[in-house]
Amino acid sequence: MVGILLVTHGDIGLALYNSAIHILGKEPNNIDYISINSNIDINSYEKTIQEKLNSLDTGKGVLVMSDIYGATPTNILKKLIYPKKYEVITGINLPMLMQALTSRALALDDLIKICLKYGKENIFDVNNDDKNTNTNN
Amino acid sequence: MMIKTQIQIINKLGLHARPSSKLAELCGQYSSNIWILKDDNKISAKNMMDILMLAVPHKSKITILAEGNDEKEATNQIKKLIKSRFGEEE
Repeated sequence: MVGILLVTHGDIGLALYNSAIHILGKEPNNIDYISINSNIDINSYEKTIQEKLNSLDTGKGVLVMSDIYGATPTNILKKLIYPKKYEVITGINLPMLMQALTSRALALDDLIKICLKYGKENIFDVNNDDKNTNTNN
Repeated sequence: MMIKTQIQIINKLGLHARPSSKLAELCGQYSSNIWILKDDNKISAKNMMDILMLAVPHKSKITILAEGNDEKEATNQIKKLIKSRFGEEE
């Protein structure tokens, strides 16, 4: 099973993790999160993240999800990428995380593709959604 | 052979996140291919996010298609889960 690590600004990862538990009705295995706080020395996170990566890797690699490309959490992660072993995607949202948690049997590269696909496809302009049946306006 | 079943979603909140998760998890236990048909859409019943994207509300009808060695058992258990309102209150 591919491990999953959420590395985000503040407690975004924790909130998403708790929401996923609520939806799944159970606590998923082999997932962890790190909240990046700008008040703490950024360099100290590298060691913490590396330790989490090592702990989550059961031989299938670890998918790391962060929030904003170009921002500190992702910048820290860039130094820790290890192709086919520790890989990073950004723009985390709940659909992306749910897809990851329900596709754990996939290999790391396939998991990345499907997470990016569903993360993007679940962004809608609901006002112009043809499934919107509200006729009050 | 393929089993085709139409069933109404009777839990008040429709196929929202938790029921979609339960349905996909159940379907994932079977080797048969299982699809859900709704309007012009046909999606894999083993993928929670695809089920959610159908945005199925209360009282609407969906069609379940199951094809494979365990299609009968899968269909029976899917019907049972939907009829149980996914464990939600009436």
